[in-house]
Amino acid sequence: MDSNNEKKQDSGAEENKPAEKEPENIETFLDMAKFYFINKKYKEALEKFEHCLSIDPGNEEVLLSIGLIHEVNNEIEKAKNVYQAILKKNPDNKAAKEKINKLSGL
Amino acid sequence: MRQFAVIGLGRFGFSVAESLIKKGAQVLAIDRDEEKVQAISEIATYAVALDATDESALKSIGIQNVDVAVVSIGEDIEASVLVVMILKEMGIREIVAKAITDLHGRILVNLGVNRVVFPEGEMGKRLANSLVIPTVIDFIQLSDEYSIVEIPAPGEFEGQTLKELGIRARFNMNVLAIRRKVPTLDEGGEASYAEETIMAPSADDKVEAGDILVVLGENTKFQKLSKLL
Repeated sequence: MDSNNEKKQDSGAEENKPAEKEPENIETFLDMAKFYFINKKYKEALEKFEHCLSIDPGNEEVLLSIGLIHEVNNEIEKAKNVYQAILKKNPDNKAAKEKINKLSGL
Repeated sequence: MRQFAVIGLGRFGFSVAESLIKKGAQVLAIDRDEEKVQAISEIATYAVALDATDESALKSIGIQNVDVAVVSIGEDIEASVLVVMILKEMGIREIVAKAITDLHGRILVNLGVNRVVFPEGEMGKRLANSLVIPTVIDFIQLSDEYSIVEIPAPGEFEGQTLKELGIRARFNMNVLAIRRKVPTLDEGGEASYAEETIMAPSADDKVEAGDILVVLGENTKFQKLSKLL
């Protein structure tokens, strides 16, 4: 298990290469962000998700993921702010609604 | 698993019933308001609308067979006292009752209620404690001096073992558990996380990013620990 994680983490530099070739490909950055997320590299994951937002501002999947990173970092108010920002633009976003309810203890 | 009856399905009673059901318990839910009964009927083992001060109605649904009865009638003190008396006479061994005033609580104790709860008072204390130390997630006061507190692990703790951190020596506290978030990706590639609890962690357990420490210690020391956050 640990050796697999080490292998995954060691390949972080390799993960950056496709992004250098395709700087505006959101899917590439999403994959990288998820790679870092699953390996608990939350700071790096947040950077990649924020880069995704610079390519596609307002992307709700990306915003939800950013909220999620704030949650795992115990930054509950920041997470709520992100989910509220989603709902401001799209009041029908069910996932954001559920997240806010959960974080508010409802 | 023990069988429970929850009488009174207001906000408190509903929450108690719902939590018991989620833990796999068999719950008989009772309220005189049909709408409230309807709301819980999909998840409760048995939900019934009746007046709980009617002894024969209670007997007819077999309430005498439950192990624990929770009386969450707060607002109507007379009804609360009557129901407790009926349940005691039926021989229910364990009765937990909600009280809204000290006098109400004392009456319930004198009637032989095993545990009286003051939900508003207890929540008020917890809220005040969490406001004094905002970083604290939850706070259970054990005595005037000691509490169990859930607190996010300070960033400087990450990657270190509990032994290396020397929490007991530095803060005179014991780490009872670590609540950890485990990142996951579902089949569609959507990010999420699961929560796991490491009970009685060993000295060699490492603190990870996003961990929440459940610590037992002196109330005066939590402020010191929270300053690291």
